[in-house]
Amino acid sequence: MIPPLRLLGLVWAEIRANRTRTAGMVACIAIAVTTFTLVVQLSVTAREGVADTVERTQGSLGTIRVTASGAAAEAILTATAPIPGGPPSGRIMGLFDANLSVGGAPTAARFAAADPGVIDVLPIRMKLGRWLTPADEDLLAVVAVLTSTTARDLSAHAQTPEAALLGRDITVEGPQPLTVHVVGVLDDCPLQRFQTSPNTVFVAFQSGQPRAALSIGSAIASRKVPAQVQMYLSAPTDPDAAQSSARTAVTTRLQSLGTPRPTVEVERIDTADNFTAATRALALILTVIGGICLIVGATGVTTVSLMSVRERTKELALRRATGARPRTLFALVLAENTAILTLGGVFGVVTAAALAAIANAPWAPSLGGFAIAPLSLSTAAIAEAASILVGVGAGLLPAWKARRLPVIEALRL
Amino acid sequence: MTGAALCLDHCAHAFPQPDGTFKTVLRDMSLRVDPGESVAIIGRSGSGKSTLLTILGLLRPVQTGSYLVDGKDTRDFSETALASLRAETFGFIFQDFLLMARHSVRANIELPLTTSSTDLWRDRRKRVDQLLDRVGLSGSANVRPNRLSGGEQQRVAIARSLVHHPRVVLADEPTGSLDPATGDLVIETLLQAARTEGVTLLVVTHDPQIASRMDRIARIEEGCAVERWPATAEPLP
Repeated sequence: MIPPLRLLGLVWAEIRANRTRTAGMVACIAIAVTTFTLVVQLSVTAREGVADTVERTQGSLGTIRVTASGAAAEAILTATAPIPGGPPSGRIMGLFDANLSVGGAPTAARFAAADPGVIDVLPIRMKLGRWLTPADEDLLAVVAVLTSTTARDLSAHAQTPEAALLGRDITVEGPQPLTVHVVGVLDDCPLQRFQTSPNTVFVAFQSGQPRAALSIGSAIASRKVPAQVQMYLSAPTDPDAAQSSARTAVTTRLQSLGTPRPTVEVERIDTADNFTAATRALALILTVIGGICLIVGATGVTTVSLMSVRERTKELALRRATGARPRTLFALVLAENTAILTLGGVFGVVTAAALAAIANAPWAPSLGGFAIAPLSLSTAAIAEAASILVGVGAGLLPAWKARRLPVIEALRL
Repeated sequence: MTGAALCLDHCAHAFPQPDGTFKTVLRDMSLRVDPGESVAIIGRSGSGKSTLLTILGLLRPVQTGSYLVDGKDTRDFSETALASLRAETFGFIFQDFLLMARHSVRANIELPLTTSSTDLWRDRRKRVDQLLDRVGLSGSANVRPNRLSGGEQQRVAIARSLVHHPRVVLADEPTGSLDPATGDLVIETLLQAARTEGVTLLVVTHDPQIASRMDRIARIEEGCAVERWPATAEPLP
């Protein structure tokens, strides 16, 4: 086999002898690699952006919700023995339907008797005031946190409804009207993603004593049975396994409590998972688009390379006639293509890095929310590796043609 | 360096035709060439001179009969082994020079060394300089062949055929594209270089003057070789 250094020398001589063709091939693949790199970087940016958004808006990953209604809900709240995976490791909310008012027309709302610790697993973001604490579990002085939607409904005419309600008392309609004191207003947008009504009033019940929630429900809404009970479990390490074991545990427990066919839903509610899947799909699509760009570039290079082999038929045949082995010609043409595509890859990556840097420069014009992260070393490595790989792939056919060259016909002897 | 012994024995060669038949060019060709000998191969157009040369140069396989190079039967050789034997044994000179137009004269001469030689770069360079000097083209190493005259181009081809120290040089009508005066100069250069290098020389030619300068003449007639030696300038029957 021809020594690598000599092969490089031959490749260099060939590149020098065909500057125009080489420049064209390098430019072709550089454009393809630039596009590929930018597209891959875009997918990386999207992935990082989504992960960041999820972290900020969706709370911890691996949140599982157990939703029970009817008899099952009552069974959960009246359970004397702890439910496996339930409080205190799980966080419970008993949801009751009620009407609220602040001296005017009543507003339908959902009343949530919530374990204050639920803030650890739900994406609750305070807009004003504070969240509930265990100290708020005194039924004699019920304090509440409203969603901003509820605040706006109750105080529609105020300029700043949330601020107007903070520190005020609201009335919960019913046979025994109850007054609750508003201590905080929270952003309800993240809650919507959790399929919890935006019109919700949160009050506290004592952690680990689910019966307290029922008491609150009875006191506030005059209902012994909550419309729904939600229990939140946090299993960031293996959410899928936790989901499965929670389903089994809760169902078994409810059956032992005399609910033969409990209506229980156990589901992952951290939409991070959905986001991640969507981003993964987006990244895949973008990578495929980038890959298509590379393939188009490689097709161009293969075509030019085939033309080059055809153009150099006599020269290659002459090499064969003077003792070059078929595999030497194969290696020569393959090395030429690989070298050209590697060079094109370097130019492409450098161009992509420059474009990404320009897009991130402080003086760069705004791209209307479009963002691309500065080129990472891993993306650059992937792009360069891809161009080398494509170079080898694109060179195979021309190299094979060179290997199979009929010497006599080519030299017209 | 001494030339190689070539022995072609009862060789026949035929080319397939579009109508499915075969056209026989060589019928019962036997030719023996001793090391260091110079042989002219003559014959009418289409008599199979070039075909014979390509068989001798291992560019074409032997269809029937046998062909021995230094006693080794080439029929048993693989394609790779044939390439190796070709690289170490043969140098070629073609009628239309077959130089690489996009490369310099130096690169053209160096061609046989680039893929098969194990010499170091400086040894190869020294060898090319030596041959450039021998064929009188010392000042043209870095120019492209198309800047040279026909005679100069053929001298480049002669240098290329000798650069890798072959033991046999096969020349296919080396003066066919040149005027008589230039042709004489080229043949003189070739003979001188072949003598200096001690190689066996086989030249296909139509020119009796050139044929007469060889040790022996082999005329191809009816697909067979009719030999005559020592060579003379007289026209052959």
